[in-house]
Amino acid sequence: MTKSTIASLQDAYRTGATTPTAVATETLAHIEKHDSDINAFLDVYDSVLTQADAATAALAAQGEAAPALTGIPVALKHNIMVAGERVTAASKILEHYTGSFDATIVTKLKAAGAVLIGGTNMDEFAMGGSTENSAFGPTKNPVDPRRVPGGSSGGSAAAVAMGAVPVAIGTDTGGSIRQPASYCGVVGFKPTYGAVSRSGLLAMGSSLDQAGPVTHSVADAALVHEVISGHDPLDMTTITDRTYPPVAAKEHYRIGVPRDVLTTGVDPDVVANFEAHLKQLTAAGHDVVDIELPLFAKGLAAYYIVMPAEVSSNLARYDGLRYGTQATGETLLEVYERSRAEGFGAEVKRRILLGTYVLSAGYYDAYYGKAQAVRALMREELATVFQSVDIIATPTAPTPAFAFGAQADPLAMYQQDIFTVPVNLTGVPALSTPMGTVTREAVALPTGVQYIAPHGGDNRLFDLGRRAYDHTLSQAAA
Amino acid sequence: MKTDDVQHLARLARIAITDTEAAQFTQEIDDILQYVSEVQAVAGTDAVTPTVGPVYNVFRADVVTTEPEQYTDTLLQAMPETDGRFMKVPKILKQDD
Repeated sequence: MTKSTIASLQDAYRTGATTPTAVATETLAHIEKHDSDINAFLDVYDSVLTQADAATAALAAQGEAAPALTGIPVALKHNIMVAGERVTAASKILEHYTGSFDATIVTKLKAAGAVLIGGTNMDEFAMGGSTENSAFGPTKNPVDPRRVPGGSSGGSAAAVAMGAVPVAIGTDTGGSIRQPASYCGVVGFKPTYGAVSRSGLLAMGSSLDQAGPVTHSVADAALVHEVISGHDPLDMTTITDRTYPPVAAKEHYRIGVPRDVLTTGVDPDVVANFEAHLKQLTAAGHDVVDIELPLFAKGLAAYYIVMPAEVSSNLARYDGLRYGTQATGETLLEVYERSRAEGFGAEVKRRILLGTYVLSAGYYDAYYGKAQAVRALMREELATVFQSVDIIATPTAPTPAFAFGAQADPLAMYQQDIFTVPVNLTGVPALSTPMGTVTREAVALPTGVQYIAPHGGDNRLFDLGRRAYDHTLSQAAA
Repeated sequence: MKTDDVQHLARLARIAITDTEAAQFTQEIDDILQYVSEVQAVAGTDAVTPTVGPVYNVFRADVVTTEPEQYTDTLLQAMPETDGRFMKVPKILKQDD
């Protein structure tokens, strides 16, 4: 099975070369054949062929007038609520939990005619950068199964990279869509905070979380974002077209590069790919300039205060009483303590404890207060820089995909997020596209470039991404 | 940070942890706190007004938006222990015989 884009499937549906039913049948066979090795999917839905038949009928009846994603297979990260389907967030505490309603983005995908294929693996409650924290075993990188696919949306990135689906939805709290997209050689997009409704996402860091697409092309990411974004009365943090000043697409962009963040801890081969990519942007007529973002690299410290603080309060809801797995205990307190002890993995416990600490009386000002102050300063710094540049470019991650077990120390693992967390802390949108490969142990491993735009600049990113990346796909196919 | 402090945090967070876990978390949380305390130097001592973005404190009208009983059965089914239409929970206090 070739790695179809949405656009190529739509062409094939239009010409009658195939149907949603035939594609869904191939998708199921592909997963059956390859996913025992990769473990990208935690669930494949029973309703796939029923949904596909409905899409086939809709295309036959409505033709071009059928909704935007009619018959397009879509996978969903396992922290996105789907009514009647298992939603586990890759945690034991939700191992047998069934979604009680559709997330707003699921309602929108269904209305757009998408064929929902199944739920993808992830780090437990989206905490991690490798899917090694999944309670149901890690996902392997389809490019090199000895290596991690990245995370936390590792199953979503692997599902697209292995050619099972053209689209998987992920969530991104500190890089969890972009970093796995970079590791697996696919496109990943984190929208402006508030562009996509969080209603029905299992919350991790509520001031940071956004859902977005993993795809093969930037054009596909733009189409899916168009479907799932929009103001939602069920999420009062969602924005409208008027929330931010318009951010226009341009013929030539002024692209800022914060060179000070490239000097330490970044793989030299990743830097070399990045420099080569900047040359291509210059050759395409864009103006690449050096900028200074001294606070950018400090984002990681602020992030590992704000995020665990929000985690500790968001995950208080998993009490073993109202839903999820319940441990036995003589008293209510014992049930709480044992359900959470047995239900949560080590990384989740570590972050809850850290969050409890930074929010406790006496430490709140020194940690949470200061982290929020740094966040405000970062927003100011970014706003100033965006007065002189249209887009900021960095590598997406400092290294290519690492081997399983290679980042055993939590702090070392956190360093993988150095380029991605400032984006979530400030709420701006960012796009990751493939940026050439580096060879490790005779395998060409993907690397990624990240473009960052001002708030509301999602379409500007799609414009640059399409022009800088999508034409390479047609060249590869030709 | 001492292991007793971590055990205290775990009690606050309602997670039972073993002594082995407590020892490991103590070391790891210490390392992380040392790293993140960088924010204190970066933020400085000047008062900075935390920003929350342009959309905050938005409230919907206080009206019922669902049908009565629309989700009742679904939510009851998700509960590990029920008694009729009630959620069943253990005693809050241990009983002395």
